[in-house]
Amino acid sequence: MNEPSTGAPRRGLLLIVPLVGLVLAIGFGLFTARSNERSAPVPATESATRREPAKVASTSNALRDLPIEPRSDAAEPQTSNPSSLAAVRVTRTDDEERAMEELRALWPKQPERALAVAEQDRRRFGASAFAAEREWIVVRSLTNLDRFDEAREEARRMLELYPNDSFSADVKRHVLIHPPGPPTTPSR
Amino acid sequence: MFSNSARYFASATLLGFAACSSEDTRDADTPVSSASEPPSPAASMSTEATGTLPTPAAAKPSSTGATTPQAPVPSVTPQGSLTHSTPNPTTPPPAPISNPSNGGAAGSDGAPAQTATGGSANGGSRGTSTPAQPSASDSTPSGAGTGGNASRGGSDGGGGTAGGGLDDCGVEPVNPNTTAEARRLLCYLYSVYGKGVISGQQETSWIANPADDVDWIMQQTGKFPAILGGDYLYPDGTTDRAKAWWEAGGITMVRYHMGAPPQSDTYDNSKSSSNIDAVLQAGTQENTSFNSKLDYVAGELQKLQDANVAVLWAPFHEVQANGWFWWAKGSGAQFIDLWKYMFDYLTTDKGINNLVWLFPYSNNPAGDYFPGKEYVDIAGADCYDKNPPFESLFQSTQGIVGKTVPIPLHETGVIPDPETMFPNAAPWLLFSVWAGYEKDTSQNSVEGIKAAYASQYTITRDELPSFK
Repeated sequence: MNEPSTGAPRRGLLLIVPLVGLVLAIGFGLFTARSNERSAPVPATESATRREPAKVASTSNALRDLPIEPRSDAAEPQTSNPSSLAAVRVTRTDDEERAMEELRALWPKQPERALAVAEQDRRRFGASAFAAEREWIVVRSLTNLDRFDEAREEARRMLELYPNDSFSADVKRHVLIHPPGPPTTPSR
Repeated sequence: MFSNSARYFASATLLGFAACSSEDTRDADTPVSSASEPPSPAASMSTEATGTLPTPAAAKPSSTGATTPQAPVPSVTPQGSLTHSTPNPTTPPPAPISNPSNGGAAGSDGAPAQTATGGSANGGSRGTSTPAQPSASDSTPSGAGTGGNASRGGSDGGGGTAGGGLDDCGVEPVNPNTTAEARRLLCYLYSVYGKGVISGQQETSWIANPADDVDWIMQQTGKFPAILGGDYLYPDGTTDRAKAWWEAGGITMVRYHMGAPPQSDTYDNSKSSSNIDAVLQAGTQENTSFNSKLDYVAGELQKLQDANVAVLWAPFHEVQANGWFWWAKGSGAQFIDLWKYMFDYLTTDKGINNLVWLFPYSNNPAGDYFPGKEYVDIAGADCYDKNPPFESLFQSTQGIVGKTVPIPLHETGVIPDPETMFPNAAPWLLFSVWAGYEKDTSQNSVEGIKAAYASQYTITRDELPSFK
């Protein structure tokens, strides 16, 4: 009626299972650590410079020398570990979202300051999900400063980088369609 | 991680740039008085303004009787002179539009002419001044002052002339001295609102042949749009083309990319900034410049008034907080003061009475920029998203301007499919495609344009009644 024959194996299992678990945990930890090393956020500017140096060609005073790349090639952490990838994404987008909130509040009243912040943000975040909106703010800021030629230059660049984005379409319509100069016969 | 919706949501309130699709603008911080309530302008109109109105299907002529070749229709040359072009002979000829305004409804659809009930007021909603707050009468079809005109419908179905329906529809313009032609135009707009959409096309004023846009529409569809849009930033020929279009049976709409005072008129300068308080203060350089610009535009509008041409007047377009243009870079209160100043200057000081005043929101309408119904005959929005018919934009605009004021889609890139607009989704009064966008295949397909212009709901130039 008793089950002595099964008692010894059970005691063995009680010892083996934690050991196996410990080994697996150590192994997973090592693997994760190595993966995190591989997936550490690479500054977007470095990545972009490496991938698309030609795209840097902007003569704008507002955003000179800032590397950028098409959004389709957005710099994402290179990793095979989904959990670490998600962690990196959350961290970066949270930071960027806060930065964007600041930028959105800034440009209507302080366009010059907004340009400086946008430049910093571009270096920091590169071709991220908010990149097109950031470019839109740059164009709007330049426009508010009456720097129309620079705004057009940035608009052309933005259209090249984000041709299908609604922010680009808005910029195109307001900056690149109408002739900038006076009509043939100036009205007033 | 961050969808477009999330991005636009974040942008809507701070940037003044919001998507106008249903999904996105539901999130936008725009006042919507009754977002869950489907708009029902047709229901309102049936008792408020016109009395008897046809069903949507009856708002367009049938294809029966389409055997008469369409007469040559006037077009305009780059210099603004009148020429004639022959429409596609394979296109069915125009039939009298069977809307109630031209007396053709009853005859064309075989239904007996009906008599409207109601008085002569326009629902009592006009003349109120409560921006962003739909008046009670807006949502009460049986409210005081149900409009309508007993003579509407006509007896012979012939149509083609204004008739009593357009002369006395019960809608009072915001300018009490409005000319007879402009009154008829306003009555017509009210009469079709909710039942059909008036087609429109902005001309490319800055190219050698500004008529290229409407000619292209004709080539593709066999129809001219009903509305030709011009821009007084480009004075060369704009007034002449507007006049020629009117003489050809069309409706003229005019905008004005005014340069920021005291700067000259250029497109760039329209996006510059101005001290709006100084603009409104007599004796300042800005005010002198502003008056000079208004004098110029008054002179052009006077030419049209002298020719008995009514104008859909859409100045200061893309109104929104933090807008692209100087007039929308200040506060709502400043903008309202600008609008009222312009209104009073043109009407009272300059005697310009041939205007239907179109208040032109952008795609992010804000109630605190609305000057009130006593300064606005119709009020609409624009949208360049690619997913028309922009239901939530219609609703948010309606939430500000109310349910009795016709709401035009006064600028768009994509022509909305009218079949998706009616009866209640987004029954825009009109659509006006921006210059060149009709040919941009990223915006419109030729098939889509043909379908839109062939829709039973779409009103083209040949289907308009006479406003003379």
